[in-house]
Amino acid sequence: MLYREAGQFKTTYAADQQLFPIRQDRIGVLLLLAVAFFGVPLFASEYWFSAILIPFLIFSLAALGLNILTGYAGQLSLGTAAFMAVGAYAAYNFQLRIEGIPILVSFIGAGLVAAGVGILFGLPSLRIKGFYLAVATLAAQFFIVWCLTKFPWLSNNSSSGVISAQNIEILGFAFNTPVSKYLLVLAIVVVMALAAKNMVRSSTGRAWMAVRDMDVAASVIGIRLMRTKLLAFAVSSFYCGVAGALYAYCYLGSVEPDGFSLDMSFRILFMIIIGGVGSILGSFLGAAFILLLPIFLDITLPALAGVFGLPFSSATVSHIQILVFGALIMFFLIVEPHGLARLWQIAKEKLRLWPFPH
Amino acid sequence: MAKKIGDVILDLQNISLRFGGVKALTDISFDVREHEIRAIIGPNGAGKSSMLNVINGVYHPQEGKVFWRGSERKKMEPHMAAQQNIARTFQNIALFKGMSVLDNIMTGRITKMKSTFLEHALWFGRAKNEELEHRKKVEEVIDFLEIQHIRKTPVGRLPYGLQKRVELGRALAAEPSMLLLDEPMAGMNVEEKQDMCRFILDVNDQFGTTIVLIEHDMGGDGHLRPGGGARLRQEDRRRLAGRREEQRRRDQGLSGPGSLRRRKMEFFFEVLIGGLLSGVMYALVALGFVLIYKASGVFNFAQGAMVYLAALSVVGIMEWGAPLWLAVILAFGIMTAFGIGTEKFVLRKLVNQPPIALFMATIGLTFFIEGLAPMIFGSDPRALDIGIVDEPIPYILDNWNMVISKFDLIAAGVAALLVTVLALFFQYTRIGRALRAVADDHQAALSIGIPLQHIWAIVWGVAGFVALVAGMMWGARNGVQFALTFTALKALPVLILGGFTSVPGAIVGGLIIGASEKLAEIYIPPVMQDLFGGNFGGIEGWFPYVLALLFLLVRPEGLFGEKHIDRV
Repeated sequence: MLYREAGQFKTTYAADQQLFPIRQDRIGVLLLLAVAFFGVPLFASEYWFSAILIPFLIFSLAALGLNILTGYAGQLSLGTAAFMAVGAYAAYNFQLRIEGIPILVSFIGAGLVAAGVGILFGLPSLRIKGFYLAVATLAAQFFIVWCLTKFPWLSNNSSSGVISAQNIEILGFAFNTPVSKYLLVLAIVVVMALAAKNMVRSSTGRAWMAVRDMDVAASVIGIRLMRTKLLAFAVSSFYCGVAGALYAYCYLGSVEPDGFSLDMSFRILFMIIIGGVGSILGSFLGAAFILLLPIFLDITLPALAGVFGLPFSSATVSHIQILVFGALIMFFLIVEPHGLARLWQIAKEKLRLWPFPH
Repeated sequence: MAKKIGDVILDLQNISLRFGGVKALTDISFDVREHEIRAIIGPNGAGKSSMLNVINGVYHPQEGKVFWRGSERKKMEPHMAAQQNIARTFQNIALFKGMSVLDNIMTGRITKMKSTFLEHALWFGRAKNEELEHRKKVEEVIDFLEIQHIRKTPVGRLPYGLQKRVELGRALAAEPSMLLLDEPMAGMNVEEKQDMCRFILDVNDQFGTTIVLIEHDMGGDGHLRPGGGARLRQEDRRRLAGRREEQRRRDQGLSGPGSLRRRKMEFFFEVLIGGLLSGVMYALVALGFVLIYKASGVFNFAQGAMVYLAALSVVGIMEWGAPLWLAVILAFGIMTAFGIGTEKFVLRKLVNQPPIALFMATIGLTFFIEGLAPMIFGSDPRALDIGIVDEPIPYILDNWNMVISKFDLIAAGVAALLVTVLALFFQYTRIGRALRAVADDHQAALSIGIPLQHIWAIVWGVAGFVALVAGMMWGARNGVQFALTFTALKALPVLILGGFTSVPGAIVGGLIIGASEKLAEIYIPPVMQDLFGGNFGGIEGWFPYVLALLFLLVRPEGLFGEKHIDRV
């Protein structure tokens, strides 16, 4: 029984359609944002920023992008990491080749370039669906990474395509500490998450979901399949592209194409499966889960091994991580296909009635 | 008061529609007048739904003309019908299951919304006002259909009768001038039917909407009988073009791996043959996919990982001191147990999930195997010696001056043998017949007493065996290491080329992929180097996928796959 929503009557459609119709939710979200912007920087250590919070936010953004495509528009993609790579390299090249371009403009440009590439690889979705499309997106994954490695121009002739992100400076303020980078990433992620939420609750989102749930009926209603699907690819890739740029500029500092591997694409896919397919909140929950799990295993497994006297090498730990990922995916798909987001929703519904069962 | 029946607004003349060889509609003409309720009746399979699909552009008739408000209609796409204010409902409810009732009906107004996605994202400009304006209209529809109490319920949770009503609501939300209703009362109880009749008559009465209605059961209710408001014409020249609009067309238009121009070059042939032979190896992996897909409809992404597991088991067991034959038998045992375990603990529990969820589960399975296998058997790359040497065949080298690997040739022989055995097994054994029955229709197979779980266990066992053969071949050739899973992933483009359901497709697809990637690897980089400078090796890594992608644009169902027609 967190709170009661009794007594909040909606008298206008506007009140009924707002982002968070329940007053306590609105207060809760504002509180959360306040803590994230003002509370966390006061208490968190440098390790927390650079190893947990920043990657969490960046991967949430990428998962959000994939969720728009897969969760809302129903087009499965296995090439998310490649679109992030496009974003990272595009931002790098904008900064490198255009004198005095503001970094935020580069980030937007990175998103747009990724969106363009996304549309290109989304074209087959007009004719194919399901597994076929999933396999087709593998082409994006392998082809893009290969291009970034082999065309020296893209990485300014560095060996094996490694790029080092330039410094970030906005209006004379240098973002060079973990805290400042965290705040920058947080601001971008909050704005983009809000935009995503707005899109999925308006007719754009309804068109995506209609195509996902039944495409023939959607087209008969007057939805243009081509435009809707390609828009989903573009918007999704935009999000992934920006996430990729942030990944290079605010998280790692220097990246190589092979870092954006198929494995990373799968991890982002796992984030949305575990977090909740077709849920904005789920993207965040899933990203947190997938990022924290290895850290958790890293800490607990050697300790456990010590207790039982088993010889655990670090290789074994990484194998166990992979195994646990796989097992969890199957577990979630069997037990709760809608992921953590649905569990949260169920918990809320139960708590509303608590202590009564009905 | 009902509006007076006006002029003809929709006129169909001599429509014929065929799917391949099956005639769905033959020389049919009829018209619809403004404000009337026109019923089309006929037995199942008469082509009634096809008729509606022609009217709103889902199907394109081969012959005949369609006049809409006096002007002839050119070939049209489904969304254009909506713009001409024609709305419809479907025989098998076609609601958007993941959305609430409100969202479903709001979607019906999508053609009337003008704001762009950018405005939506920023919640700026027209977006917000439009949302409110249309909500008001939608609420009117909700009131009209008396479904206020369920407006925020996801439609998937509603009973059948209400879903039908919501679907009508979605069509009405578009304020259509013509409404096509495909068996609006099918599967309803008497009360639901009466409600539905009332709504249909009210729609016609209040909004003057022209209604075309399909029904084959005219007994259940009196309101829509002739004289009760609807005008029937049973003597339309509609022929029962019979049977279902399904078609099974197998295109035999298969071409080999490109016509070879005689440009001398033993080298070319050497690369080509080498590619073809390694293509056979891809086909081996793809075969495992096809078996499982055919029998259970599961797209088993983990087949590549199973190949890795099989190879690793053999090597690992041999390291523990077992001879090769024993290792192979034990590995086969492991693969079978693993396959059966997967079927029992994962896939069986996912039976009613959409195929894509099963697909994702097999991705999870892939990770599971990739973590488990090296944990047990170790992860260092190792060689697997199965007694065949990878060396050029002296005879060919002497006579034609080409390097053709003996190993590759033997592998190809093994693959050919395996395919033959499998084909015979499928075609002529009792289990094979049961397998095919299960592949066609699970429920029907179950109802005639085929033990489903038993069959699936066998399929996974066979797939495990195929993985074992592939794993040993690949392992002996390239060493047993993690990279094996990436090699095995190449089986996916092979499948796309060949079609998911075809064993010959897997073979031919494998050959094409194998040959073309090797040729691309040899011949494209020099060209690229001339153009851009630098080193462009590694094309093999992506070439099969891009080839498959381009191929999909031309032939989405693969070389041997069955063409799929959406039935609505």
